[in-house]
Amino acid sequence: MEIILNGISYRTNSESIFGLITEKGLNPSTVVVEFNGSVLKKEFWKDQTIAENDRIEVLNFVGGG
Amino acid sequence: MNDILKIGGREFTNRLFTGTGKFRSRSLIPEMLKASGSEMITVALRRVDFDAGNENILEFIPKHITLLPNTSGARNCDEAVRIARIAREAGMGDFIKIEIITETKYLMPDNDETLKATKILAAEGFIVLPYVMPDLTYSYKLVDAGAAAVMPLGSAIGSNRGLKMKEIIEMIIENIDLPVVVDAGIGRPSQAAEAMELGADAVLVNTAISIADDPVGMGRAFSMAVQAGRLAYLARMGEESKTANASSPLTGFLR
Repeated sequence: MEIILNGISYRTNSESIFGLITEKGLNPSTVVVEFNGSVLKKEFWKDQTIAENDRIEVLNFVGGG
Repeated sequence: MNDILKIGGREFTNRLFTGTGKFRSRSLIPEMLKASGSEMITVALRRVDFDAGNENILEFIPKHITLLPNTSGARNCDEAVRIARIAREAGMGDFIKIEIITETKYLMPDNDETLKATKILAAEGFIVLPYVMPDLTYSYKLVDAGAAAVMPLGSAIGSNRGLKMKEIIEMIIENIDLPVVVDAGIGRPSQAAEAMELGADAVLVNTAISIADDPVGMGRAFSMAVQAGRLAYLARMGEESKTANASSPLTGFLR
């Protein structure tokens, strides 16, 4: 299915947010997920299913002043 | 000496706030924090770069340090509020540095949008530290909006030009009943000392430390300068005069 991942159209076979994070090879403990405009806490990642056109932002903290 | 700075219910004994941007190696950050004694440090929130892999700046920051996420990248109030809420949800605590910029040459902050965001976020319980163009009237408005401190810029971000806005910053320090943290543009320890001598409650220094050949040594230098400036402020300096005032007695000359 096609989702909008970090502002760009992306095709995924993952069914959950947790699956998507794993698919992208990310360490779950270091990223923040915004799911359709709201922050989704990690405890809900396995239960949150992904549907066509969902808007998902995967963010992390970086150096900044 | 018991000289504590209180912001948002937290107590700081070190008045040098630092940033995590532009270090050539992130492993220098914990060393810099140790050498400087800085107790608050800024971080930024960005989209993960899937090609580069995810960065986690937080693993380089010891747990006792207060995190000050910034809203850099925000171009208006709504974007800043969104970033602040994400940061808090992500477990970063309640401190937030509001940084709203649309102008790209000098990266001047937008005081109107910053004031709006301050009001919203303070009402939501955030400890709001707004980064602003020095302006006394806006500073009064930020107080009313619930800011926890005011952070006027000394000069353009990363410019290392020091306290170009000195006179206005001085007005803010003298008239605003909130901690004043001089943020941006401080390029040398002597400029940090100057801000503290004026009566600033703290300074925030990132670039000048992180781009130094030896960021750890520079962190220590800034910390000592901040401490010296603070001590000088508390000790109250003598007045300036245009003519000389002899230091040795003007009587009893041998002639």
